[in-house]
Amino acid sequence: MKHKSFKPFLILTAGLSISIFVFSQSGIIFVPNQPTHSERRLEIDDFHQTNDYQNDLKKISSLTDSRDLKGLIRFSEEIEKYWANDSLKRSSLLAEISNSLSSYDFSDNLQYKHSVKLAKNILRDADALPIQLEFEMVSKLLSTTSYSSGIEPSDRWESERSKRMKLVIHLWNRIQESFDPTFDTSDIRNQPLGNIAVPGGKYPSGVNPQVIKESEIKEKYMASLAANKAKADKLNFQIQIRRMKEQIPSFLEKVLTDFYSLDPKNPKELEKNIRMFKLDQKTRQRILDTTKNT
Amino acid sequence: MKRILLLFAPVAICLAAFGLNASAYSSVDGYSSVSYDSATNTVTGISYTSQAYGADLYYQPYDSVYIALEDGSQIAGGDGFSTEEDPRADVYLQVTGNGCQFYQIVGQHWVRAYYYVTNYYDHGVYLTGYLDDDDYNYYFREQVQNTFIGSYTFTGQGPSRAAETVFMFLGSTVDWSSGTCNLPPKVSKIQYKGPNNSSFSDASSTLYVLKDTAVTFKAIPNPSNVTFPSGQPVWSGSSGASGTGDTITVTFSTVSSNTSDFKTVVATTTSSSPSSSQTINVIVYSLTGTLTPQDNFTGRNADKYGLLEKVNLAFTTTPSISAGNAGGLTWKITSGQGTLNNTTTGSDTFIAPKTAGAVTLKLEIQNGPSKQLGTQSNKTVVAPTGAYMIKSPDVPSLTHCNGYSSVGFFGEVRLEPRDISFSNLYFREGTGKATATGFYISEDGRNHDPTDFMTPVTNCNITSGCKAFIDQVYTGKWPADPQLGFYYGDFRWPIKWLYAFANDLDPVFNGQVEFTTAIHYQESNNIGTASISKAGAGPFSRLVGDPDNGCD
Repeated sequence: MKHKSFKPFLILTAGLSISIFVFSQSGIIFVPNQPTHSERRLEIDDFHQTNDYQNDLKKISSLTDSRDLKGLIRFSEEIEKYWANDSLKRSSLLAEISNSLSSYDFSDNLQYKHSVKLAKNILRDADALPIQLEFEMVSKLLSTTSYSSGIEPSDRWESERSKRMKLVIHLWNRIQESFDPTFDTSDIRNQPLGNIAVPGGKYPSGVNPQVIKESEIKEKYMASLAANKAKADKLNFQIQIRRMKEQIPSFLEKVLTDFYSLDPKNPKELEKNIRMFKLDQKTRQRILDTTKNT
Repeated sequence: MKRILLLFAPVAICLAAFGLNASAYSSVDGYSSVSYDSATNTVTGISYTSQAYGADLYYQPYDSVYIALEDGSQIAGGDGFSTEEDPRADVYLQVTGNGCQFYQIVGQHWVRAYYYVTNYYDHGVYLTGYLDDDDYNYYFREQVQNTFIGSYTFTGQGPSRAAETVFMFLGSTVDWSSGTCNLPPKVSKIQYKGPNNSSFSDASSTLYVLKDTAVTFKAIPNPSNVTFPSGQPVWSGSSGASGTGDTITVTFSTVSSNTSDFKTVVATTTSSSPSSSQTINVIVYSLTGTLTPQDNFTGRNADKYGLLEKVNLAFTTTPSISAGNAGGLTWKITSGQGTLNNTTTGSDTFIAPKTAGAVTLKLEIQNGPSKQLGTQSNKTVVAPTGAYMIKSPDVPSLTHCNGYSSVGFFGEVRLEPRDISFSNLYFREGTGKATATGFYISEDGRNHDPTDFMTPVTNCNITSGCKAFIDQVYTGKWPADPQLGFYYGDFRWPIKWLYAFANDLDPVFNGQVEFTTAIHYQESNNIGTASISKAGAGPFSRLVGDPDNGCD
């Protein structure tokens, strides 16, 4: 979160590489070799932030390696402030810390309290999160150690459980709403091509559209690339949703088992949630048995 | 006989509450003792509460006591205050007993406080003094030791202040005795301590012990202040417990066949009449952690996971018990990296790290006699080591334009090693600069444009590995040169292949890694026959005169 001075150097670097010369059958031609939009954005606009972001990731990794719980908690507060205007980077960095705290042994049960706290913080803006990140952070809510170990007063668990359930339900609804049952991810027609043939066959597939001189070919090629990318985006998203949909029954079983094993158990509310999530009879019975016997 | 010294600071508390600067401490003695004479069947008990000399200016000791039989039923009781003459609150009890058994005396020790009161109104003036609880009368005593002036009844006026609690309970003393019967103690309960427990805990109901755990058991005597005679208690049981003395260590090496097959630990005092014993029922279980990759394709490597691979963690026990019965089960990473969610129900999801390496996962018992014990699994996390291309089985035909030097195919990129799932990774092609000769010389230096999206890795299988990408590999459509006709040329395009951890194009978020370089290679000969290959797929050829297929 320190470096701010690389921008001029990178603009210069980008400036030096904007064109190349190509030998063709008809002589030397000038070919503008422009980076793609996303690459240009990355190189010029975001590099200093990228560097900061990477440094922050390294710092999280280093604090994790040294099992510095206080350091990580302090750093999460700094991240909150520094990345306040970039919610994706803020959420991604806080998620890294939450993951560290839930995964490694810092020999202090406070770590689990903070892992969940960070996850809930990230989930405040759940609608704006990539759904994969939402799933990851909702998974952090499975930890009830701070209640079972007495770090949090057990009489607060009932209201806490209800808050956590709302976040689980939000994720569940989002997955249901995002799932397109008519879309077949295995259909070759829905698969994007890594490289596509340039119309007319004058150029090999995989060339940058900017090198194409003929405007008609270039336009057609760019339209094909855009359609291909749209296909890729849809496929990516639907594959993600399908994978989450596959995981969600066992995930919900974990959620309900963990949440309702702690007192007060509230079997009525548990049954209501089992019905809402449409879990099958076998799963229902497993949840009821486990929560009852714990 | 039981005696305690009770240190407390009510003076400081009281005075501080009334705004005076004081820090005096007082001490109180509590004492209780019981004896039994079997010849006369008489139980005698005494109990007292006394305080240090001088403290009676502020406190009056009070003692409340009872004598009970072994079964807890009370057979005598009494109480008393200290007096002006005797600053010790004594209670003496004598009662007919109920034969040879243990008699218990319980003395409760109290003080009544004379609280200091500020600003009460009396006879036209505001004064200060001390208060007791009797009808809220203010008994005035000067702050001079042993100088009692008199007592006054008045209505407090103005901002006078006093504490609400006047009686303060300081503690109890307990004594047991069987007197001249000289009985040995009985076993009241058994406590346990596992190898990682810091102290003994009561073993209530059924105890669940992981196989091969060495648990130390301790017999607690009743009465608690009487020690077991030598050779007592005697330990036995189906667990194999054997020996004498107040503690014993048992290693549970035989698993219970079901949840009714208790391995018992029994402590018996044979010297008691009748003999007494306590039994602990132990279920001995074996624990297995189960690690099931979410992408669990046939023939995959069970000991190696791909980067970011998700693995469902669970457990089984024999006999079947819940995680709660086992004391709570939590998966932990004891070495290496990865992500977990910290659950206590033995069910979690492991996400492999973004870097290759060894990882050890431990399923750990959280509480109870087998605390911190569990089972470990050693795994290796691997990155893609390479990739290759196959001609797509979905679109097997070759592309060609009749009359041109041209050929193309649809290829699938597959990842190595083939027995690993990389299904949580993404793939794209990166940059590359071509070298070309002869017929293709116009393409020399051609830059490859990185793919402008990430493709999720899917369809992992042991035969061909995970599918990363579908590609259209094409020479382009090359007419004969007007002067030279067709002539030899080749084109070599080394293209970086990258895997990433997210579908975001921004390397900041996707953490992309260049892991191999694919070679796109094409040739055209002097009769225009084109051939093409990429990353191991091909070469595939078409003659100039071959019919059109997919030509644009």
